[in-house]
Order: sequence, then C-alpha cells, then structure tokens
Amino acid sequence: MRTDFTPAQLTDPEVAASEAEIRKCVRCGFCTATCPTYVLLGDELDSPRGRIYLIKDMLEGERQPSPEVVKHIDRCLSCLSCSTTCPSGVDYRKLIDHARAYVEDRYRRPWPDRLYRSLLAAVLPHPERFRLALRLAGLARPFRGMLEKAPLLRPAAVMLALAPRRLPRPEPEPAASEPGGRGRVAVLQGCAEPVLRPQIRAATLRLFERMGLTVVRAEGEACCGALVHHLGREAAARAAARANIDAWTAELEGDGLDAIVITAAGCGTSVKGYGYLLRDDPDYAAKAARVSALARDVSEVIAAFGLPPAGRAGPLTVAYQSACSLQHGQGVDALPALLLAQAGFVVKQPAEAHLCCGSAGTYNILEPVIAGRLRARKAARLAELKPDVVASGNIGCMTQLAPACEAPVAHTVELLDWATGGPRPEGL
Amino acid sequence: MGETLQPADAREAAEMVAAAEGRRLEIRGGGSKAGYGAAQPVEAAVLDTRRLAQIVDYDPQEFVLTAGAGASLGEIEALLAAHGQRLAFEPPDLGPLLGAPAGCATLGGTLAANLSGPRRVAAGAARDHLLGFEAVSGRGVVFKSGGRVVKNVTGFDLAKLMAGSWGALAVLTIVTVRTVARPRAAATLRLRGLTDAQAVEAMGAALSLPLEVSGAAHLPLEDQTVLRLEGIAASVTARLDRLAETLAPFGVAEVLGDEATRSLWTRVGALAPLAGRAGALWRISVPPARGAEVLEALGAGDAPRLLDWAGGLVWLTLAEPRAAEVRALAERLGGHATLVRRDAPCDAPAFHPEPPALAALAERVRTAFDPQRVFVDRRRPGA
Amino acid sequence: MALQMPDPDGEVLKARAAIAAAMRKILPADSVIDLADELRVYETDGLTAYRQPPLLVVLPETTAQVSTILRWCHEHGVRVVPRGSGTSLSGGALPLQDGVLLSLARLNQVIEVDARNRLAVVQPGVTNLAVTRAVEAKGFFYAPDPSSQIACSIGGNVAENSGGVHCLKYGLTTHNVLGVTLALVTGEVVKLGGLAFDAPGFDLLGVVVGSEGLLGVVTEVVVKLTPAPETIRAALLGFPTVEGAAQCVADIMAAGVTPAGLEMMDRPAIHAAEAFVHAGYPLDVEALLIVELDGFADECEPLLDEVCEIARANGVTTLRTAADAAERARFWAGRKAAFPAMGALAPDYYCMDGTIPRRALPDVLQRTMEMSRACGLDVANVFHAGDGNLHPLILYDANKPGELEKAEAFGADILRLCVEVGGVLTGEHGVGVEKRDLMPVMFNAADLEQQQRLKQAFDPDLLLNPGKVFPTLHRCAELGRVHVHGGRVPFPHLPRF
Repeated sequence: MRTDFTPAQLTDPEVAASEAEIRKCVRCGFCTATCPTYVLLGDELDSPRGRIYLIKDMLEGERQPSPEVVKHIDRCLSCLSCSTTCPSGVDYRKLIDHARAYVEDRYRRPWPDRLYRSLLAAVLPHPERFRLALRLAGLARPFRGMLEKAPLLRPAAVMLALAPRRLPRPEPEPAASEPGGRGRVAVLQGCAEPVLRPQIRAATLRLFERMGLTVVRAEGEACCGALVHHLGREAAARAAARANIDAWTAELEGDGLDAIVITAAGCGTSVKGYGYLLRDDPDYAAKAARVSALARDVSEVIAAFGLPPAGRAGPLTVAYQSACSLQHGQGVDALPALLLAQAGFVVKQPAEAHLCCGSAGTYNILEPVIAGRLRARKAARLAELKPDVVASGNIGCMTQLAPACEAPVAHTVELLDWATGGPRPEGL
Repeated sequence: MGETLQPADAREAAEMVAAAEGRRLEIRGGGSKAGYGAAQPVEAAVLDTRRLAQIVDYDPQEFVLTAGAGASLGEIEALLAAHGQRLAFEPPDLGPLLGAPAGCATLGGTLAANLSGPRRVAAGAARDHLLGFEAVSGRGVVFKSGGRVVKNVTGFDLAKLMAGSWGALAVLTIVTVRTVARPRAAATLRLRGLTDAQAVEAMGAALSLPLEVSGAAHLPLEDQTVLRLEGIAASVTARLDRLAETLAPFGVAEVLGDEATRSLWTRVGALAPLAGRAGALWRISVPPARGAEVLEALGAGDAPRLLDWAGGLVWLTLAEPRAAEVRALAERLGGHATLVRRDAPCDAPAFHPEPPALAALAERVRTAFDPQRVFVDRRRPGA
Repeated sequence: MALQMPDPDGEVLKARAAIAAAMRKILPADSVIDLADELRVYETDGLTAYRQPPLLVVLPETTAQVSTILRWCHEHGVRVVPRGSGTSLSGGALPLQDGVLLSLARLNQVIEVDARNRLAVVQPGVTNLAVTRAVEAKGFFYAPDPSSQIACSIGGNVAENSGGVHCLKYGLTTHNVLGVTLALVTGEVVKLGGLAFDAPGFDLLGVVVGSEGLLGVVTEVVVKLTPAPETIRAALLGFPTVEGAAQCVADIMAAGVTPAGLEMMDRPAIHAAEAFVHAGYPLDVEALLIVELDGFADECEPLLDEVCEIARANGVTTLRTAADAAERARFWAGRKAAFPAMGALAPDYYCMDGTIPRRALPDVLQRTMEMSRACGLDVANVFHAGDGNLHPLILYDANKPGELEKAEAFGADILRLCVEVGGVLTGEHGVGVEKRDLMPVMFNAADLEQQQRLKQAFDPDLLLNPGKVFPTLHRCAELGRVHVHGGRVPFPHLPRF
C-alpha cells in the first residue's frame, strides 16, 4: 500500500527496512484469520493488518506512542502466525520488533508496568536468580488469592500460578562424553529451561550420545536474549547475542561445530535471527550470520542425523502441540510429528494448530486475560484428541499448558529419548 | 372491466400503464395460473402480454436466451430442445390442475410465479435463472436490470424481486434467462411401499451424498418414491449403483430408463396424481426433513398428496381448508402454506400472511414500483 | 481524496462525543472506539487507495445490540456504514467522516448445523472458510469460495453476492443462502427467507443479497450446505494462443461438462506466478487453463478424458492431469498466488473485476493490451473463464504522483469495454465506491431511479452506507411528482421543496 515517509526519514536504515515491509502489505486481511488476538477480540486494532497500520502511522508521523497504540502493540504475541499466512510475504517480525523498540525508547510506562518488566528482565535470563525467585514463590503461594484481587498485583499472582510446585533438581552435566564421531554440536543451555525442566537437556544429551554426536559446552553461553528483545530492549538483546556469538565462535574457530542446537523453540527463533539483529554491527555482522546459519532446532538435528532405533515406549497417543516459534518462526512444522510417529507413537494434531497457546515468552504474565483465554482454547482442542501425553518443543508452551491439561506435558525430545532407550519422562 | 390491453412492445405497455389513472390492471400471459390462489375476483382490465413474444436473441454457445416475456413457454422449450438445451428449473404445467388449458403458460408468467419443478432441488428455482429483464413499472416507466451473464453484482438484483412477485410490481416485457445443456442420459431409481416418513428419510439420505440427485419425490397415491439421476451414461450407471446401495435398507429398487424418466417427472411436476381430486389444494413449503411431519400432524395419511423437493414441498388436498391449522403448523415447522385452489368459498387468504414488520416493508417495496397500486397483487387483491 | 462522498453533516460531527457516550450506554466501553489514533486503522478496507477515518467504530456482539444501535442512529439522523472483515476490493466498507462504522466482526458464532435439512445458521462475522470447517466433519461444505475465504465474512459475502472459483458449478452466494435476519435502518429486525426452499411474499432475500450494505444490516445467515465431492480431478492446459484457450473453454461448456472450476491466466500472469511460487507452469504459452472436475470417480474420469480431447482439438501444447492431491494443489498454487505475485513485481496493483460473454475474451484481452501499451502501465489477466468473469491486475506505484489516477482510468476503460461487448461492470467484487461513477455506463436514468426507489423503501433517509453503488443521491422529493395515496403523503417527515 501507499506509504507517506519523507526521504529524510528513509535515510534511517531501520525505517527504510520497515517501510519496505509495509509497502508489501496490500491489506488483503488474510492475516486476521489466523491471528490469535483477532480471533478472540474481533477488533481490527488487534490484528496484524491493524498493527501494521498503527506502526506505519506511528513511524510516519514520528509520533509519541499513545497508551492505546502501546496497548495494541503489547497485545501482539509475536507468534508470527500472520507471516505464515501472508500471501505477499510481509516480514511482520521486523515491524513488530521495530515497534517494540520504538515504544521502549519513547514511552514512559506506568510504574507498576515498568517494575514488572524490569523484574522479569532482571530475573528470568539468569538461572540462579530465577531458581531463587521460584523458591520464594513457594513461600508466597498461600497469598495468591489475595494477590489476584489487587489489579496492580495481578501479574505477580499469575507468576505464582505458573511457578511449578516443586522445583526440579538441577541435572548434573555429564562428564565430557566420548567423542561420538558423527558430529560436534553445541546445545544452548538457556535460562528458564534448565530451571523449570532440566530433564529436557538431559534427554537431549542422552539421545545425542546414542546418535553418535559430541556435545560441546561453550564457555560464556547464556540467555539468548529473546525475552529482553520482546520487551523492546534492543541494546540488551544485542548484548546477549554478542555474548553467545563470542562463545560459539570460539568453538567454531577451535575444534569446529556442525550445529548450534536449541531445545526451546522460542530461543531457536531468536538465535536464527542473530544475523538480522546484528546486521548493522561491522564487528559482528559476519559472525552473527555464520552462527544463525548453523542454528537448528533439536528436531531438525535428529532428523538430519537419523533417529536411533525406537520402540522402547508404548504406542501412546501423543497430541503434538506445534509451538508458534517453531511452526511460524522457524518453519518447522511436520518434522517433530514425523519423528514422534517414527518413534512408535500415535501422533495427533489438534484443530486450530496454528493458534498460540498464550505463552509467548512473558506474554502470559503481562497479558494474563488474553493468555488465559488462549490457553483454555488450546487445552480444549488438545483434550478433544484424548491424548496420553501432550508433546511440545518449547518450555514456554509446556509451562503454560501443564496446569490446563489433564494429560501430562513433555518435551518432544524427552519422548524421543524414551522411545530410543532413555527413561520414562517425568509426569507420565 | 372486461377490457383487455395488448401491448406490442415496452413503449406501448408504458403508455397503457401511464394512462391507467385509477383503473387496475391485472397482468396476464396465457392465464394458465389465473386460478392459482384466486380468492375473490378483482375489477380490473387485463394487461395481456402475449404480443411481447419475440425471440430477441438466443446464444446457445453462451447459454443465454433473451425473449419477450409473453413468449409461449412451450415454444421456448421447443427452441431450446432443438439445440440440446433446456431451462434448468423444469417449470411444470399447472394449467390443467387449475382449470386452464395445457400448454398456455408464458415465459414471463412462469418467472413471475417463480414456478419451479422437481429439478429445483438440484438446479435452483426460476429466480436463480433470470439474469436480466426489461419491464414497465406501475408508474409507466420502462426500466431494465441485470444483464446477460450469470456473474453480475452490478446494482440491486431486481431480477430476484421480479421473480415470484406475481405481477405486483411491474410488467415484464423482455427477459433474459440462463439455459443449460440437456444431459446425455437420465434414469430414475424407484422404491415402493414406503410410508411418508420413510420416503423423507430415503430422499434425505440420497441428497446428503454427492450424487447430484436431480429429482426426489414421493407419490404415495401411486406407491412410488422416485429419485432421478442425470449426466453422462457411465456416470449415471455408477451413481445408480451407489444410490441403490445407500437405499438398500428401504427396500429393493427398480430402475427406470431415459424415456420412462422423462414422462414420469413431467407427471410429477404437473402433479398428475392430484388431478381431478376435489377439495382444497395446499402447497406447503417446509425444510425437507419435516415434510412427513406436516402430513402426520394434519392426519393426512390417506389424503391425496405428493411430496416433491425431497420433502420440502408438500402438495395436499383436504376436504376442508382448515386454513388456520395448516398455516400454524407450517410456521411451526419453519415454513409457509399457500391455498392454491379452493372448492368452496372461504375467508382464508390464498397466500401465507407475513409478520407485520415484513408486510409493512413489502408495502413500501410495492410503493417503490407501483405507488398508485395500478397492478393487481393477487397476494393482496383488495389493496 | 479525489472521490466525491456525501458532505458530512456538521451537526453530527459536533456531536461526536455525545454519540460515543450514547453508544457506550448500549455497548461495553471498550466496544466503542473513538480515539483518532485507533480510528485510523479502520479508515480503509481492501481498496487501499481510498481512506477516511470514521466518526466512531462500534463492535456489537448480538442482534439486539445491532438493532439498538441502528434505532438510535436512525432517531438521531446519524449515518451508518457496516463492515465485515474489511476485505472488500471495491471500497464497500469505506467509512464516512460523519458515519458510525458498524463492525460485525464480533458476531462470530456458528449457531446451528442442521445436517438433515442441509443447512447451517451462522452469524455474519463468521469467515467463509470457517463455515466449511464447521460442517466438513458431516461431509458437507459451503460452496461459494472467494479467494479471500480464509478471512472474508459470510455477512460480507451476502452483501456482495460473492462468487469464487467454484461458483461455476455451485452458484454464487445468492444461490446458496436460504435466509437472513436483517436489521433495518429503524432497528426493526425482520427475517427474510428462512429454513425452507422459499418464503411467502416478495423475494426480498434475493434483493438483499448483493445490496452492499445499503438496505439493512445482516445479523444472521442461513446457508445451504452442499455434500462434499468424493473425487476431485484437475488438468493444466497450456495454449499457444488466447483464441485457442478461449475456444477450448467454450467447447467444454458447450459439451455440457460443468467443471467445478475453470480458470485462465494470460502470459504475464503465468510468468509472475511462476517466479513467485514455482508451481511448474509452462512459460512458453500464451494462456493457461486450470480445469477442475469433481463428483464420483466414475464420472470424473470420463469427463476428464473428454476435456483433454477438447483441449487437443484446440491445439493444446501443454497437457497435464494431476496424479494426486499434491499435484492438484501445485496446479492451483500459481493461480492462488497470482495476486500477490503481481504485487511482488510492482509496489502496488489494482485488481479489476468485470464479466463478459466468454466469446469476447480474445478481443477484450487484445484491446486491454493495447490500452496497457497506450497508458504505460503493465497488466496481467486472471480469468474465471467458465463464467466470463475477468480480473485484470494493473501494476502501478501508489507513491508516484498521478499513477493511481492513471491506473484507475485504465481500469475504468476496461470496464467500459466489458459493457460494450455485452457484459457487466462487476461480477463479484461489487460496485462499492470503485465503480459507482461508472453505473451510467450500464444503466440509464430510469433504471437507476428505480433502484433508488427500492433503496428508499428500506432506508428513506439514506442513512445506510450512502455514497456507495449509486452515483448521485436523490431524496424522494427530488424524484419527480410525489404521489398522494389515500390522502396521505408518503415520507411526510421529508421537507418539501
């Protein structure tokens, strides 16, 4: 569609990049059909088409973001379902990321909002702090009802509800494995995953050993930066990216890496986007691109190197919940389901598989009402399949869905590990 | 009164209408449906359309025919047949049933009555095949609407309004209709011994499959429930097999060939089993699965009756009109009832009364075309 | 904006806050949108060339709320513009500066599926595809399938009498709707049609379908369900000349074969689509046909053979029949991507919509190419060949001053040509604002006046969607002699001049 940027505005490469995407949009409206917030709210303002228009308006006018515009931008899950649907190839992700950063720079949020966001940004990316916070959550749990009643404290109540009752014991990192010979990979440790479900990494390591892959622990690896990125804190996101790029580049230039494997789909999308994030950084652009090119979701690596002989698990019915970051962000949709079927499970996919479960990073904490409605909807669709277990490729989805699903929730790789000789996943 | 006006073209018709001033005009083609629903006669001159009978344009390759509204339906059908085509909605000849000679229907009258035969269940009604028209409004103005192509959303679809308006809004002078190719083969599956309820079940089952059944009727007076299939020969055979298989629980089926099919369905459309039966003739339109319920609720298990459109169209002759009862029942089941012919005078309106808001809207629509109420509206003959 | 719309009512503009407050008594506060930043998002639909933020936006959830909103607006002389999914390509949902934009998006429930009577009752905000999804488990589908079916609303389909590829065999919206619940401008709610095959009285249902939001607001739709076909077969046919392809289409139809879909693409469209999605289209043909047949296997196979015979008799140079569903999807992939593919070639494209007799196709295409060369804008054609409905796609750059106007002039010339060869201005997109000023090409003053009179039977004060479909507005008093009937003057509240 027509845009009204001035030539001066277009000299800024960020603005120019966004303008190019906006131009591609023809307002066909297809995206509204698959956007979770539009499906729930029926308001053009909470649809990708509407958000593109709000962003266009905001950038063209160099406007101070109003509370309403911020509200609608905040309501975006960044699930990227719209990108999958868009026939014109609009890269919506670029627009929403630009908009979030723009808002963060110029808009002064109400203090409770600022407080929660800072808290999340300070705690979640750091496993030790997160673990501590969860222990404290255990103490605060009896007060959840009270917290829920005070609107200001609602996010705290939600966080408490999401916190697991029992903190899993951290799994010890196995001693450096025998070099497998088939390949050398790094497996991102992550931040929330090791605290909430360390069994995922453990299962991955066991499976990779069985597959003959050598897992390397890269020094200096930390949180991928997705969380702060989605809060609009671009500088922090870039810093996190650089730290990881340094860690992996050291390995790449050392004994080499065949892949950088990520078990949390949300993080995978982030790492695959490092190249774009640091495209304007002369020192890191090339390194970031190299790292992004090597990034793989764990399911992609298993498929590439081949699943070991399976059959150790019963023919359970698995409802495969396709995480947004995996199907839309990374374009990996059929693969994990195929692997599970290969492993001997009966795999079913729910209706409305393209709709987000409401996790979306910290969305379920900051937008609890919408997240709650999406969770209920997803849980209902999953329950219709009458599964023995729900499989997902993302710790965020697992945490979001577990309280709402009768069936236990496990990571895809935990089930694949079990089927090829590993232990039965916890909860089954 | 007693006067008949016979315009030769739209301009003459417009002059006649404009000159009506205070007089009523009843639009009539061949008069085949003059007896349809007629309650009390109205004092009006007759506006006879039969001189508006020219074939303006027939384009078989484009499947479109434009003709004067007063053209004989029989002649039109013969012309189309000569080119291997026909009108998809299979208009029946109700003349004899209503006390008029056979074969006197005009194309315009058929469309104005939205008269549609058994194939309506698959191919749509007359209103779905009127693509465009020229007419003279009650204000004596010549106007046109629609076009000569099927996909047309330019302006309001006045053709739909004209179809089924029974001459109350305007007099059609030229009409453009869509034609379709005659199928190469046709056959009928016949079941016997079914009750009304079983017949409705069977017909419903048949129409819920992608078999393109083009006729579904139940003739209890002749103990037959019939389903028609048309198309290319190999396809008809295969579909017959599938249909027989599906309907096996309802009994053993016979198959009728091309010729027998043709004559049977002409009889169905003309309501042949009901010919010569005394009593009040009702046309009851309901959702098809409820057709048998109509008959049961009225205790009409032995009455002269016929179900068409898979049960969605119930033709029934009752000794007494029982209008209030029939209408209430039809409404309860989601439909309406028309008293097509009555043996003895009775108060009941022929056409089903509409709710007040809708009736008021209809009156405003009529004003849009005929503010002076020049044309007789047989639905509201006094008004 | 060059487009002339009715002058806004100054009093209404001044009363904006009061109107919003009144709406907030009918709806929850956040179902009324009145902030400038937010209103802008509603300023356009699929016809992005025209933009106008509305006075307010309201998002009701029930028929009762719609009725109350209309009643209030009617009593206060406030104009209303209904909106479905905002995917109209003719500006059907373009707001008015002094109009309340009434979005039906929140009336999004499937009320009932009645498989025994082969019908479903749905609210207008349900998308076209969602209707099919709701009934497919029972072996049915909702047949009309506009290309925007994933997003377009059934209420919008009713307003525009939408078509789609499969309407060739299964009919347009008007052939697939049994009834609607209509909220009139006064707030009165009436049911037109119903659950049976017909209804008493005038076929008002038939005239409301395709009435582009001018006669009332649809709050419920009863749709006809069609049994889903058992087998679907498809053929991809490439021809060295447009004439050959067009004759092939005519011969297929003349043979009495009614394909489920019969689409044509011209050379520019083929190349654009191939570059975009790599469907495997031949690049050495002037025209490509995609023929889809559905039904029973025993029916599709011989018919497919027949279609191929006809194609060979017309000089086909590429002939492929799909071996399976995946290949069939690839045949269609290019056609489905044709519009965005064109969008990738130029910053903007303008999608036209007209219908012509099938035989006029080669002539119309040739003259379109001549016009293209004359005005310097590229054009590609995608054509519902089976029913003569063409979609020329004109490429331009909206950011270049004057290009939009040139594209529109070119488009208008194409539509005039359609009417000239015996066709019509619009086959499925509707008149909206886009073709409003071309109506006199097809209709004379008497024709337009009669349609206007019908409009006034529903909406005498012209409050519903003014500025659409008809080029000029006439109040009843201007339409000539006012008739006195039974001592009463009709429309007594209108001022007499």
